[in-house]
Amino acid sequence: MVKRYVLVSSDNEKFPTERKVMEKSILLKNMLKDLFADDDDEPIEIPLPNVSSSVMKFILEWCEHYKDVDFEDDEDDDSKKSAPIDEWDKNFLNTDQEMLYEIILAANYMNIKPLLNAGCKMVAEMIRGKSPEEIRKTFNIVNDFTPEEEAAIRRENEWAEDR
Amino acid sequence: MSSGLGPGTKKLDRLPLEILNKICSKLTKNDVLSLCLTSKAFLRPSMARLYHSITIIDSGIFHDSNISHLEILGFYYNKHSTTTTVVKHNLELLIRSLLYLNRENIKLIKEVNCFSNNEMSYRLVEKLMNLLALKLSLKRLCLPVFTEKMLKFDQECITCLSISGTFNHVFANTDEALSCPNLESLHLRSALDSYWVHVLDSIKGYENVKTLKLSGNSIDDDYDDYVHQGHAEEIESFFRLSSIFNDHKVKFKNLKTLIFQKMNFQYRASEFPFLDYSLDLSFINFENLEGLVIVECGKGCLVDISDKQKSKEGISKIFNQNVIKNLKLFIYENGGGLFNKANISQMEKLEKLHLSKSNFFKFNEMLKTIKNLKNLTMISYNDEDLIKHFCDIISSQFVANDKFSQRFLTDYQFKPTTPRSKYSSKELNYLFNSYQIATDYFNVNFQNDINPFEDLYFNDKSFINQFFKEVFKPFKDEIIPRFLPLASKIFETNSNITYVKICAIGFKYNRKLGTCYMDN
Repeated sequence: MVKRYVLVSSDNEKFPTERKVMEKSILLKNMLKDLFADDDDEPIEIPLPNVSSSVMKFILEWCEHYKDVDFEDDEDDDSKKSAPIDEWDKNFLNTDQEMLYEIILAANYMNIKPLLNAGCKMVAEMIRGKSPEEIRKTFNIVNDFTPEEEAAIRRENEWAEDR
Repeated sequence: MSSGLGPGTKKLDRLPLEILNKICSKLTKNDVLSLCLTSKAFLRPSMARLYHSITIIDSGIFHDSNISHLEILGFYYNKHSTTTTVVKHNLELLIRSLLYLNRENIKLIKEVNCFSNNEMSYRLVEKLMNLLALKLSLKRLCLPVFTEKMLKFDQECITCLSISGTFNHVFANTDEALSCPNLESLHLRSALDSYWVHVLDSIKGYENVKTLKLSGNSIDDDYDDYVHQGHAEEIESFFRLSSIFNDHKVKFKNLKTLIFQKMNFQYRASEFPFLDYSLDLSFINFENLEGLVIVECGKGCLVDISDKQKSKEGISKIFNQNVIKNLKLFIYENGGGLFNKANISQMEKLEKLHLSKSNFFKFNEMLKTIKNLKNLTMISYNDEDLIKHFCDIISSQFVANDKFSQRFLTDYQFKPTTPRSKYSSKELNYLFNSYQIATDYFNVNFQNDINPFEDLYFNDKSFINQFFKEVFKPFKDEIIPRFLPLASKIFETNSNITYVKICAIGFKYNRKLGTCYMDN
């Protein structure tokens, strides 16, 4: 008998899920390993109070897509960090900003590093090449610097500017 | 629809710090610089990114039009995406910035990589880190990855190649040799040891170069001080280079110009057996002390002036590419020391003298192209017969070029082989006139400047030459009356100057004493 796993979102929606898919999340993988014995035939429900159902759908779609892929731990690999975002991920994450942040937060919470990295890269892509004013406009950010503070920061960071 | 992480998390600037840090880690340096000015929320993650790992790249790397400097820096940037690259021009700013930062921010720095062949900048960074009491991983690295990049270029297009680092791992990352059949100019930086032989082994076509430039590490202006500080071995090793080349049968078949950079001590052509001695070599050492002296203290070159056109072009190029503030001309004619060899006949000597004279006239033309010169030092190791020609040049420059300003130094060192009586009064007058013009200019321009020195010298200490004093002594009565009014004028206009001195003859005019005397 195949064991049944159910993820429960913050709004109590239930998502029956394959173990292989779930294990893309290190949080869930460790949880399964530590908390649930293999000989227990009861269906397992795992509540994820920090993830809403709409976000859960995205997360599970991503995990389903990559369920057969083994991601290396590339946290310290500079070349991976600077590598361009995967095309599939790009299309997948091409959603509104609000949802993108939700996905990033959920990926962080569920410890899904490749998805977290892809999400952060996506945001980085949106920042790339923009002036401070353009960034504010893109992300609807209010400038909370006084002119003096701004000048001081510019002065402090002058060394890093390309000339 | 909320993830439940609390209200207001749906805006970028409200995301937790750890997420912002991650986003910043994906950004390039320039984007981080923009982001940190967007809102206070991004300040700390931006700083963390900017100061996390600093890579200092000191020295120009390539001067080839096909391989731009930026490209190489960009290459480095990609290789170290989480580091912030500092090129030498910004080093001072980095230091200032580090000093501005409070302790908390300084803790953000995890690693400093110093890609430098320049001992001075490396030490500077090291000292700074000690000053800030930071326990950092300070790495001193050479530039090991050029060849991979270079091998991707069409090597036939490479006509000019400059390589930083003499260590064998410059070429350690590839077994392939560069094949540069059209290589005309080769610049080997930090030419201090035998590794150059291995470097040359890896460059097919090096033997055809017309211009070879060898750079040492930054060497202080004062050779004696440098030796005193324990660098004698380093200097010596440069001399060893020639014998190493010779031992390995390194030949430069078409070499026309040999350039020494950042070297303030003199070489004799005879010390370089790998050269063709038919070359007439003159040593020109120019220094650009404007800007960050702490990083690069000088540049110098050796130019073949036997070919008028080539030397003009060469020197013009140097002048055009550099804002030269300080120029030293070390004039070696006919292979330097070879000139005074006993086996040179009188006829040969006269011929060489004739050539020397004509060469100095060529310099006259060249000097006219200097736009920003402030200090000029000319040192001749040739027969004193050439004094007149130098004076012609100097005098004409002062008349023709009012850009010689603020401070003027002339420094002649002569081999005391010619009896004093050989000088005609006209020649001596030439000399004196050149000084007077110099001092006039000095005085005129000095009024508008703030003099940081209490004492004013017309010439630096190296100018004091016993022989020179001997030459001028008989003319004391003529010189002093012309010197005093000038000195008085300087005192009038500059209250902080205590005495004025013409070092060449040792005359010193003291404000308090009101007398002029020989200063020994």
